[in-house]
Amino acid sequence: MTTTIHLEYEGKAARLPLQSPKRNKVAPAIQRRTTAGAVNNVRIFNAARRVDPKSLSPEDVASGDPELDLSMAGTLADSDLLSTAFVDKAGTVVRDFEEIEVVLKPDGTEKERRPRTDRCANVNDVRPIKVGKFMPVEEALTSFVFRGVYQVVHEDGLGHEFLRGLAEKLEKEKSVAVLGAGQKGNQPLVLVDGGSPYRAFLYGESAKEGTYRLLILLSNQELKLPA
Amino acid sequence: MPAITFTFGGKTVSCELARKVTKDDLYGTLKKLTIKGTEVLSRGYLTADGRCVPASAISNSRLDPEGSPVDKEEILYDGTSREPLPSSFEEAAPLETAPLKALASFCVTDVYPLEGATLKKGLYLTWFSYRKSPERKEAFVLAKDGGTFLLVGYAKNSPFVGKIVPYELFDAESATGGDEEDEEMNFAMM
Repeated sequence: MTTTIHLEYEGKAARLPLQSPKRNKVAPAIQRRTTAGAVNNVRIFNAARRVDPKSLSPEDVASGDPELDLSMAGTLADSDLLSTAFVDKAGTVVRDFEEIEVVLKPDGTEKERRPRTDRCANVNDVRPIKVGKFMPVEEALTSFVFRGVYQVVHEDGLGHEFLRGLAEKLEKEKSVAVLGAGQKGNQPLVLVDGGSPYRAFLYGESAKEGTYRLLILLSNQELKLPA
Repeated sequence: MPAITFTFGGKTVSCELARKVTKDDLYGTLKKLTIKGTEVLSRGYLTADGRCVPASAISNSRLDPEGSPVDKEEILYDGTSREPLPSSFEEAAPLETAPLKALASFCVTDVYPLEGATLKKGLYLTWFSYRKSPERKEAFVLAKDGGTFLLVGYAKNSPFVGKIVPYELFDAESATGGDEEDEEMNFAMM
């Protein structure tokens, strides 16, 4: 499966394939085994019971195991037979609940509380991703932590011309371009529904034989020390 | 802070590895809660027979084919057994100068500040392994204004493309495979 990016630069827009380059070093295939054979990862019930520690007296703990429920201990927990539920302190399943997000500052204090929003992918939206301001490549590469690298490629001759021209310009100006989504082109990029938002930078290089390399660098962190 | 040593140009570069810097340290954390009124609800599971168990009642375990919990296991890498290599704290990793553009194809998973590193500004290729392991991670040391950082991650091989796109050089899976995180950040930084 290939993701498509809708990209706009200098009034021209195109839908182009977004590829994930392979890793330089292929990760080894890891197998775990014992003398009996291959090891399987499974989920099992571990006998933990929901209890409020404050409700237990020292006598309760000394005389029994109120924190344990041994009836299912050691049995396999088949994900297909389990349904997620939300429960209150009394252990009752709650059906009408609210999902929220709490934003905490770096010092742990609460900054904001808001309803939870589901983000939608925006790289192949009606509104194209805009190629915005240029920034010196050295500054970008040393100021941000890049978490992901994707490559924009062409599908036809026009796409090749468009992308190679852009890559050449970025290389000539020793710059990366800031990419943005939304009407104003200032929103972060979300590659998949429910995915994380990233600030994105377009990095380009070209070679003599008509080849080019146009990368989208995704960042969610500046490269600096905490205050 | 643990002491870490590198070698560069035949000389030893000693410094201390500070705590990992995450985006939460810089911008704060986003917690997702499920509430009713003011009470924060906890996640649990309904089993097939109608019981409600807390999420903490389920653990991950490793079993052998006979169903017994695994005590001692052998790990094979590409079908062969390998001895663990010394960690970065037990062996000095060599530093090689690298062009800054190498960062454009490098996906960073962890960022560690290096305190007391005496390196000229620039980018250096190295490896990093927090623990003894048969596999070492690819890493760069970036010395810049504002500090020296160890960037741990993996490099991608992004090819130059001509008129014909070499699709075999790209992952067949979704181009968004690395987007596994489900967190949000504060974009005030930009």
